Amino acid sequence: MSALPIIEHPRAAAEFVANRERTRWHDKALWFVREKRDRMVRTIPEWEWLREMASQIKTHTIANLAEYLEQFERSATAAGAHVHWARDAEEHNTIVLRILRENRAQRIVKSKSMLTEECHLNPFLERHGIEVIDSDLGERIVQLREETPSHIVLPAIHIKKEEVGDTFHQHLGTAAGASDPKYLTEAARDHLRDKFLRADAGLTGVNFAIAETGGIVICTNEGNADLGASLPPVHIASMGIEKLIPRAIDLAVFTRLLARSATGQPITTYTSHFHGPRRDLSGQQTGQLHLILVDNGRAQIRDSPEFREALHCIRCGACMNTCPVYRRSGGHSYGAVVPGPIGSVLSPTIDAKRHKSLPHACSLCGSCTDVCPVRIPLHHQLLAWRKELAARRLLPWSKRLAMKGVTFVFQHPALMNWMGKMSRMALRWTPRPLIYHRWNDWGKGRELPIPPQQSFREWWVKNRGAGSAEVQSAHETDRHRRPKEE
Amino acid sequence: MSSAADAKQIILDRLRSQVVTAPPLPSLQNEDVITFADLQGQFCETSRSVGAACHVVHSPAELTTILNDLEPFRRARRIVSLLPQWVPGNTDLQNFDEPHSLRSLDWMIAPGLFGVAENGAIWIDFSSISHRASLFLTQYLAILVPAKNLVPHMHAAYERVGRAITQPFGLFVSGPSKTADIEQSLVLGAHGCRTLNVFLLANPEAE
Amino acid sequence: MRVGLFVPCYIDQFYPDVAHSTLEVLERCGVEVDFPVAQTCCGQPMANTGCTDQAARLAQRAAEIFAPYTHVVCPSGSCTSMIRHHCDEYFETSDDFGLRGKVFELCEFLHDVLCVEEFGVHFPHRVGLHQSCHGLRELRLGWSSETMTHRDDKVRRLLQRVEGLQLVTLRRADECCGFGGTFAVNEADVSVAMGLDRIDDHAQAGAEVIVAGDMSCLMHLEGLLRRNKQRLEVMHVAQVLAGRPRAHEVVSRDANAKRLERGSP
Repeated sequence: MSALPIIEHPRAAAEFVANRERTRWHDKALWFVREKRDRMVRTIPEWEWLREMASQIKTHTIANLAEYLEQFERSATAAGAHVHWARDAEEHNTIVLRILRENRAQRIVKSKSMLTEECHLNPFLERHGIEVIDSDLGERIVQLREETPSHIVLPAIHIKKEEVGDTFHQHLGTAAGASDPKYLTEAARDHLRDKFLRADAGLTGVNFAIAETGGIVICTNEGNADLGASLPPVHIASMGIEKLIPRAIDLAVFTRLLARSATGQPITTYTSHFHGPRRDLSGQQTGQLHLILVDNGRAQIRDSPEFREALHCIRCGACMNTCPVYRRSGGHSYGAVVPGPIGSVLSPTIDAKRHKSLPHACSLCGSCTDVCPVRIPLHHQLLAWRKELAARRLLPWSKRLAMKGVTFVFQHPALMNWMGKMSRMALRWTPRPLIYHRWNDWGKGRELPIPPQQSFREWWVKNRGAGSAEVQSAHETDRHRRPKEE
Repeated sequence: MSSAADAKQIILDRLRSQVVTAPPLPSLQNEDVITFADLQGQFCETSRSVGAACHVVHSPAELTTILNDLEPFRRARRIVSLLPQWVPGNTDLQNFDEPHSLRSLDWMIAPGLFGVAENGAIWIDFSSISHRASLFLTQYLAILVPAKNLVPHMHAAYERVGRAITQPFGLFVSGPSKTADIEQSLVLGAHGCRTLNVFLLANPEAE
Repeated sequence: MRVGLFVPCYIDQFYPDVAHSTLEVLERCGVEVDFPVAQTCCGQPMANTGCTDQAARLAQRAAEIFAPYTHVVCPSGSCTSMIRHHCDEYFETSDDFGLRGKVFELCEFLHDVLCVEEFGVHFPHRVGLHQSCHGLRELRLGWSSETMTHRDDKVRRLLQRVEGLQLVTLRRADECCGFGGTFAVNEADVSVAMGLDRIDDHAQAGAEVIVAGDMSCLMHLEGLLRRNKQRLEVMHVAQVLAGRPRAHEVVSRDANAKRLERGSP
């Protein structure tokens, strides 16, 4: 992973946004999803209460995570599931491989799981001779194109239907030039049904794990997770340890929030609840269920009071749909498994140096925080990351120097006045090519302000300041005298 | 190589080493949760908005008429009906020893226990369905729900499911399978059923 | 009531008419306003870059300078929100002289404290209201479209009290303009794209003037409008409430400014 070059967000974003037409298309597509979400939300008068409940449930759960994990393991095991624990990505992948080998499984189908993306499971399994088919349509498209998903819920949002048509023509034998989504989806249906029926094992993620009952819940629109879990004899479900919720009734809160936030639907087509392995009508086990509980940095995030709430994330993607920067730079520009606002909070915890541009790829508009169904204060966390990066000296020295310099000036009002006056004069007199050169990032697309003749302060001193104590103190440096109380 | 027990202990110890205080679980009691004056009307409206066809029927004859009006049903070769008194099938689910042979299933008529008005979801109890994959493999799905068994929202829904949630498999299904992964264009009938017909049985004997 | 006027550094230096307008509006409401000339900056650019020490020093300085006033009014949502919400750690062991509790953004001061009903001005133009993000989502000056929490739209209400003013309906009522402080320079390409999209929205809605409570947003949008030679104008809400006419020039265009313009591509 560290062998890949670090492409910082600004450069990747610049490339994306240079194609104005495509950027508009991408932006519109995602804004449309945001609008669908809004329409749904407005039908629920108690929406803010739901968000607050979700936040409280998750806060309580993360605080007591060890206890709930143990309760979950006990209940799940009692129901007949095998529970495995993995400290990191490597351990997770090894466990998956071991289970597959033990069951002589060579062909597997996998439904959407950001955790398995995080662990880079597919390339690992493929290296060991396992055929992995991503069964979610968007993920299958991305897999055939040898790309990575650009959005956690809409993996192929960056791909046009003509491009999908080309890919399917190449790999599935659809007609050349065909791009009708219905036609292409039908082709994928046949192709993937075949895979489901021939798979030796099915891998899924987990949306919610219920501590009190030991069950897991998976939400999909396509039904692919259910086919993957119910046809092959082995079902492996991977989950981050933060996916736990304490009680079955808590599911009401989350199932009311998830699909509305993610895609603007009142609920996903399928909300499937699994307790223990598949059984026949007499209660006889007819399959295996393996649950893998993965840490991979989550306990570390939990350590930090500043970033702990990021563990509340239910992976709805609403923050991406609303983020004006994500919509105009695309998921790939983040260079991270999870992009967008939540990705920009989580990724630096894995590798701060690699992802140091992400907390700055944000205008701090706060829309993500307001849209998040579990009330993660995302833009505040991004700001906190900037502080953290500066403290770890991961801020470019030019910026550090600039800030130090400006602070010095701001502590000396007379100096600030003088510099302001000089800048205004310079702007008025400097020839244009010397102002709008290639190092002037502001000037790439915008004009600088027209400099006024006089600053407000100059006017005030001239017209209002006579006799007041403030006039004297204006020329003092550093610690000034506090003016007389009236 | 550390054993599985090691990883578990390490993770739990790590979590316990950082004590985090938090308030107790909230009670989720709220008098202001959404309600609907016309549960049936709301359910039908929402069901249709998610792509299902929703019909209120009072007799098996009425139901049969509607189904026979549908070309895919008339053409169907293999029909499994878990409610033969309402719709007769021509194939018994028990005859399939393994789920893969269900790939040729055209229609499935299944019972739903209750419906949820806010999102058109129906709870399916699998305790008498021998192959749960059948519900996803069938090309076309029809679900029959007693019209009096409607709840307004998911809080009421999960209360109603209660302990039955601990069965090996339980499902809320809302609308037919769908995807919008190709340029946000909605296509009904992704991997699961192509269409969903929901029948609300407005008949006191319907159980 | 003794009000200290907090003028953001860039308004003082580049948009002094916004400060003049703010002063006029407040004084017309009968408020005694003072401008402590020792003030410089609230420390927001430093804080947003993660430079805590620098930000703390400036915040502390501001607290001392504004100690003598009962209210501090600032024609900027982002500076006000910086002081109100992001200064807590700087004052853990030192006195803020009540600054965090007594700082107000101009519109919330006019709406909540002075409860101004009438401004005695008219502005017979179509106005696109740009909801600056800090004002909207940090100071909660209005309802943010993501939420279901009803909030009075203070800026809109004030503008509706201006005779003849027509507010247009935008496609995206509260999308960010793309200024974002250092973001405007760090991510210049996305910043420009965001600003151009906002301008398109206002243009298609038929706005003649874009009005906002934060001059930083307007500086960015104006920079784009002037570069692309578009007719849409920008004005700060203070200028509208002070009765400035449209196309009021922030600075008298002297020959040098004209020369600058002539050189544009």
